[in-house]
Amino acid sequence: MRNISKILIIILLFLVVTGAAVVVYFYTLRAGDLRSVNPDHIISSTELVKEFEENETVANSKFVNKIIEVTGKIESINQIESEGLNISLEAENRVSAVICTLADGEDIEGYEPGQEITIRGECSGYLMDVLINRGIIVSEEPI
Amino acid sequence: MKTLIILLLCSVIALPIKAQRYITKNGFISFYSHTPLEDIKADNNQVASIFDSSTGELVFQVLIKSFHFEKALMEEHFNENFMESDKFPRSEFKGRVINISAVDFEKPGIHEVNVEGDLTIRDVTKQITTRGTIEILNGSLDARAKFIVSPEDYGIKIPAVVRNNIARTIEVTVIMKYSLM
Repeated sequence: MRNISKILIIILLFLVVTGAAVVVYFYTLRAGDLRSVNPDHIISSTELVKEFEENETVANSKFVNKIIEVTGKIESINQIESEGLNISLEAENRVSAVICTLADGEDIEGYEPGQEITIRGECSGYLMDVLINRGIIVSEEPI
Repeated sequence: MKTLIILLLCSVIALPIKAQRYITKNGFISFYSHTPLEDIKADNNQVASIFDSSTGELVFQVLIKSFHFEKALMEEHFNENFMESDKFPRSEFKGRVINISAVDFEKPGIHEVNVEGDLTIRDVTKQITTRGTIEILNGSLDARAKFIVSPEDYGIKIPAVVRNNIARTIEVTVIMKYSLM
């Protein structure tokens, strides 16, 4: 009898500790690095903008919250103080562009406007431009 | 959606002939919640805004999904439970600098401004008034403001389990680097 209660207490303790560890793990989990994530779509900036301009509803369900690997010519590089670095990618013959905010620690060194770049990130949707967040640079060097 | 751009442009209404409009698509808005248990900060680097220096009118638009948090779970709760960003994907501020006549846009330097307007979050619109600054630079403007919002005002229900982790009032910081349109 005593043995059974001992075993029960040990099992209970184990469950409590495991449960607490799981809660702490998920609570402190940081937004993942997309380097090891396969993209849902590989597309050019021109095609991506075209899809949103032609039918935003369809494009929203296709791209929003999805991982996109987008290639395009750098239109501009913008940074506000130490907060987030934005890379705008041109879309040929379109009013809108693709704006990618890079993930923390991501470096744009070596790239300048006019060069081609490939960025993998998560699509947030369409405002005046197609917006990509958590971006990482996947092209090995300026194209 | 081209109509959105046209709408944004139309929002800056009643333009006199000498209209001077400034634009940014890389504006920064962050919010900060402080409680003894936890500090929470979220940044959005993709704010679209147009400012008309002749009338003082200004419009800001953001996608809720463009706010990023340090912790993945916070971002998920924010989008799914608090802001319901699939249902209400955008938030908007439409207002004006009420003392615009006191700002000389020909003179470089920092000017104090008073801003009032309507902030719409989750389809709920409330009036906001705040102080801010506009720094006049060569062909561009640096505009900044801080104000307080209360999640309750916008129908955001915070579950009891995290109530002590989220402040009753949230500090919003706005930094815009506008260039001439």
